[in-house]
Amino acid sequence: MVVLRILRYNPAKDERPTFRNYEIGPTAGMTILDALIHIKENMDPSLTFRRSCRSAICGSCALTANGKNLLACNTQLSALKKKRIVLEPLPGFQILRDLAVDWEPFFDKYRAIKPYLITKSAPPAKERIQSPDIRKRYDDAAKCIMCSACTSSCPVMWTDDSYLGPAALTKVWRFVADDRDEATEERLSMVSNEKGVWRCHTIFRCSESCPKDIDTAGCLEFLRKKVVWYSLRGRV
Amino acid sequence: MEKHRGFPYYTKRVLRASLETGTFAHLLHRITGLLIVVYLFLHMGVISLAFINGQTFDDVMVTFSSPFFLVMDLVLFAGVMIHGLNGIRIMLFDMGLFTRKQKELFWGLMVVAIVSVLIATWLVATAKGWW
Repeated sequence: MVVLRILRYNPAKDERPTFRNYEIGPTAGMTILDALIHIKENMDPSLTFRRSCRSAICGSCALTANGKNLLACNTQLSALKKKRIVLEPLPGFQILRDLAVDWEPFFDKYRAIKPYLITKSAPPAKERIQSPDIRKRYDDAAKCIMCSACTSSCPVMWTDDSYLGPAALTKVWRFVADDRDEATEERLSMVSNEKGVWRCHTIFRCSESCPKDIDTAGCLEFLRKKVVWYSLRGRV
Repeated sequence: MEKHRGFPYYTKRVLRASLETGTFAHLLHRITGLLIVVYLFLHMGVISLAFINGQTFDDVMVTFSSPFFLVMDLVLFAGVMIHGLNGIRIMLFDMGLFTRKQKELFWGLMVVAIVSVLIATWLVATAKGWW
């Protein structure tokens, strides 16, 4: 038997979040998400959590299990190696209810960095060509599924509302490293301040918590390096 | 409304995560940093005694060679080594190096810090004839 200790909170009714225990008998290969669905269907229909794809692509089910941010759908209960598993909503966000948090501030920052290809030159006849070598430069950053596990795990985010956070900055790197994008200077100026790359304390919780194993902190450091080179040449 | 920002929130969560290498390094870096800043101000205060009264300064210096203060010197040395070596680690990351090897790098440098403190202790102990 495994005890799932889940943080329950309904802002309309409860004064503060409280933990409630659910004891379940895990089946072979049961993931945290399977367990949550099992509880919702058989034990407590009021339990609220997000999930969509159940195959680690959508990033909806990110939560904190035993202090670590992860995806509930691709983490098996047995992988946590504990008989008591504490599940909490992602830290650093307003709790909407139980395990669901308000992601609006996260997506506001994501929108702010212009997460799309910006081109200024006239489009070529067929397509904008890129070599496999250059594609490889941002392979890591392009894997992001925007689950916010990194941004939520960042201690800087817990004190500073204005910080863009690792997910948004990794996305900036994704476009800066892309040679088809023609707004490098604009992007670098946008992040070369105390809200951007210089706010990072290199604590590595972002890289540690990424369910896609992106070297988030590394992407941020590459971005810093780029900012420095451009500043030295007076282009940022 | 539940609090999800601010210094108390940060402190609680960082302490909970303090066994993770990166967070541990971050905490240690902050604590040793504060220690060094406090020491610097004390140091400037004590040194400036020499401008006020030479005799007092000499007396204070005798006090500082007592075993207690020598041990405190070693604590300071440990703090400086930890802060300095971790500072080098952070600079390497800023150059885009070893970001995938941050844990190994931290513990490797901490071994260097421990060895250097042991050597310093041995030097102080032999100089003072405690050995």
